[in-house]
Amino acid sequence: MPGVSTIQSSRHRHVDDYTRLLSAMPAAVYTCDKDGLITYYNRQAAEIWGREPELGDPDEKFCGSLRLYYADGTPLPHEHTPMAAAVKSGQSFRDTDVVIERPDGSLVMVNVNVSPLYDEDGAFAGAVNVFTDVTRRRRLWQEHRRQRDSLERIISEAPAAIAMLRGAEHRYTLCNPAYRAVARGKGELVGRTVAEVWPETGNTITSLLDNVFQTGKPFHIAEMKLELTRDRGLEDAYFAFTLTPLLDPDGHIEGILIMAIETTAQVLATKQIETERALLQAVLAQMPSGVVIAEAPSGKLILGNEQVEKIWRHGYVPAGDIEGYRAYAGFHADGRHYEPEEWPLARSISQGEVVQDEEIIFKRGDATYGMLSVASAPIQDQDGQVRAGVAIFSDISQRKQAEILRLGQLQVLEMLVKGEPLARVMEEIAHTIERQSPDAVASILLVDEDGRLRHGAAPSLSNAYNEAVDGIMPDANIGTCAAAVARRETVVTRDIATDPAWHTLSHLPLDPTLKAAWSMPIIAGDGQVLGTVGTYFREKRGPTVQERQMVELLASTTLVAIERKRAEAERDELVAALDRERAQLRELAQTLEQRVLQRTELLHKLAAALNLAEQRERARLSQVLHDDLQQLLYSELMRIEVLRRQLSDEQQAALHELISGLIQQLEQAVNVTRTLATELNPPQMESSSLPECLDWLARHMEEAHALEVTLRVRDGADLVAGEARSMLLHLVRELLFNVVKHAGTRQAYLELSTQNGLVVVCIEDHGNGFDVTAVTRNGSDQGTGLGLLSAEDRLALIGGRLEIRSSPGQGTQVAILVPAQT
Amino acid sequence: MMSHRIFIVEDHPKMRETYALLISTVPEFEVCGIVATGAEALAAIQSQLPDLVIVDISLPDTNGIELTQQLRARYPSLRILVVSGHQAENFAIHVEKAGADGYVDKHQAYRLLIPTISEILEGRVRGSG
Repeated sequence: MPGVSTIQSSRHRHVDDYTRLLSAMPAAVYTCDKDGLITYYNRQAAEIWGREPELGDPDEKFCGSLRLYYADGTPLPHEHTPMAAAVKSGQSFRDTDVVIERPDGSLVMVNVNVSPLYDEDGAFAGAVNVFTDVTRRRRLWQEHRRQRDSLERIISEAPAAIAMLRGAEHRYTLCNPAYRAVARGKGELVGRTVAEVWPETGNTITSLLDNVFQTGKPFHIAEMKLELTRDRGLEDAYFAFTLTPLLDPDGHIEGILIMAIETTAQVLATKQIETERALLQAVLAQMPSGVVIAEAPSGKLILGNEQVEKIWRHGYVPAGDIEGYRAYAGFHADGRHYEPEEWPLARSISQGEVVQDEEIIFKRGDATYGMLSVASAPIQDQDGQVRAGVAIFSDISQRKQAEILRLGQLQVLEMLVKGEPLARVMEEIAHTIERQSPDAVASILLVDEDGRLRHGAAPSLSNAYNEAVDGIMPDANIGTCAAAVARRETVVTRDIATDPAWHTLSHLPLDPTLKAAWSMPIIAGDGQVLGTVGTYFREKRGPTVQERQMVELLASTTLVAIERKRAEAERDELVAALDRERAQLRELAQTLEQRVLQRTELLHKLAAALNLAEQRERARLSQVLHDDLQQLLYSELMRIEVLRRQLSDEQQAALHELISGLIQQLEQAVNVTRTLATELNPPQMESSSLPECLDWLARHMEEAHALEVTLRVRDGADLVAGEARSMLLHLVRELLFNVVKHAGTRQAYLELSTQNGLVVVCIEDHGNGFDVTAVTRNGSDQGTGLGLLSAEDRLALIGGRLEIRSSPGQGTQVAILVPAQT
Repeated sequence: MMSHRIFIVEDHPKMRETYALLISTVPEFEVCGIVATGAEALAAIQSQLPDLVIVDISLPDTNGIELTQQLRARYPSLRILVVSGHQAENFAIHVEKAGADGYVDKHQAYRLLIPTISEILEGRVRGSG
């Protein structure tokens, strides 16, 4: 207690009372003498210290605690404590916080108050320290302080501009730095009124504040534009305001809390974005492709350019989510619908997929079909989150149709080249038409010889329908195809159900989903209608320009196919006719061959008979010459001799010349007949061997014709017999006569040999020779008298032949070759 | 001078007649018989007993060679003269082998027949011509 400032020297009498008093005090108390030695401490001091030091212990000077720290945690030596300072200076020290460390390690903050002590003489005697445990109080304060600091920090650091106004005049009592920043250039705000600070706003703000002050209702303004005088003069500024009334403990309105967020930067940025967006939209609108942008993850379409409507031929449907994409009819190549989540845009939004050039069949608002090429991509923010998706698409129908048409035509042409059946070719043409438009069903009909329509190709129509149509007559007022053929022009039926031309055909089993039809006649170059290319639609519509052009092309291709097949059929017919004629000719040839064979055989027989007859005739003539004519001549010679014998010598002398002449002539006649007889039928031919016959012939030629013949026999002695041999010998004799008559030489060489199954007789001379080709070219040896050709002909009858080698001045070599008879 | 009997075997009528005519020009010769075949010759010669037989080589029923062989077998002393119209050079050899006494080519008969007959009968010649 500070009240105790002196210690009576008569303490002995009161010491116990003081001690009791000090011990009971609700504070810790201890005393030190002027040397700093502890002279007293109460129980509370010992509790706070956590120890009981020895009184008067020179090691425990100034303080009984184990260790000490300043409030900020810096160690505090005992000799620097307030007690030490008091003992040394004799001054008082008040309200100083220090921290005591107990032996158990716990810390206690105490508030220290030290006063000097004087004895009864007034001399300085030491000091007394009264200290209390302020640990809890300190903590509470610190908490409070922390909260306050935090609030201040929050307010000062808050992005929102915060200010507090008091009174109906709206005077500033508090402004945070953000608020000061908003009011930059306005000087100190606290103490001034709003009207004083913001004169340029007129009563815009004050009337709002008045309203809040009067009604007590908070007020919020999302965006407020104010023209503020700032560093660069008057500027547009945008704010979001919250005005909250402040109530006193009695519930009366005493002021207003202003929270303002300046959104100028955002608003300007938004305006910039909007400008850019407008520009972007203008660009998108003018893009030649359709563009749609959708939000993620909903899929809501937030932008679609003008091309969207142009391509789809119906109004832009701003689908609110992916499910809404059903408003757009797309199909896979196999005819399945595109489900909403299958659209590329939906896939980009939901899966982040980047789609490039996906081809999608689509149905336009006018019920026609086309082909889209679609590209799509997700739009991601900085964190990679998909925020939106964009799809760009274009109508590639025309290009696609041209492609399909080109491929179809190529396929058809290839089939034509390969000679595929007409039915297959027309089926491919029908498929090509159907590939162009998903709602199209093709039917090709052909006109037969009777002028009836016949099924050509209709792969997607029922057999029952095709059979029912097969054979109908063209009629200008019936159906579409029949009418097209009859009228020789394209016929369009936009609605089969209501077209009168189809009433008579209502019994036909036509697929009820087919609503319309059109047909183009196939007209040949000569003006003949060969058939028709028909197309049915599942929509009530006519053909598009492209479809007309396509079918026109395919009709001409069909025409080529039909004409080609007709030409082939005609060719086949011609070939068949040729085959028949060929067969007849073959038969005729066989008959003729047979006849020729028969004739040849007959000829051979005739030739053989002729040969035999010749031989016989020769023999007969020879016989006649020998048996009759020669006998008569011999007889006449002898009669002359008889006559001569009967003449007198004188008579004989007178007639000698005459008689001798007669004898000479008769002898000559005998010689002629003898030679003739021999040559007609050589006496030894029948009985001798071939070499013997040739030997005889050689000698005979020398005797009868003075031709010296040298015979050389190699082999082949008896390989030819009968008529062949007699023919051979006659030929040899004739050839030797040729030497005598034409060769101009008296020498000849005869050689007999065999060669490859042939018996060869070679007759050679070194005489004049002749031009073989001239003889052969003439085709006749008439004039040469050689008899070579007839010799060849005769040899051919027995399977033999003649080989002649000769040239003028080089002699002649003739070989007779006849088959050996083994 | 003693007469010689000559027998003629010749199938050709004109030749038969001419042989006889020519032979008759020789006073010593007498034609004792003329036949046309070998059979007739064999039959007649037995009774006529000629000194010499003129045999033609070609006969209807046989040939001069065979007939010569037969006559020689029966009448070893009979003179046989063969006449022939054939010209084969070895003909004379065949005729001689068959037993003939002479041979005359008919072609030369007008000139050689009478001399040859004479020479055969005189035993000097066996063939000619």
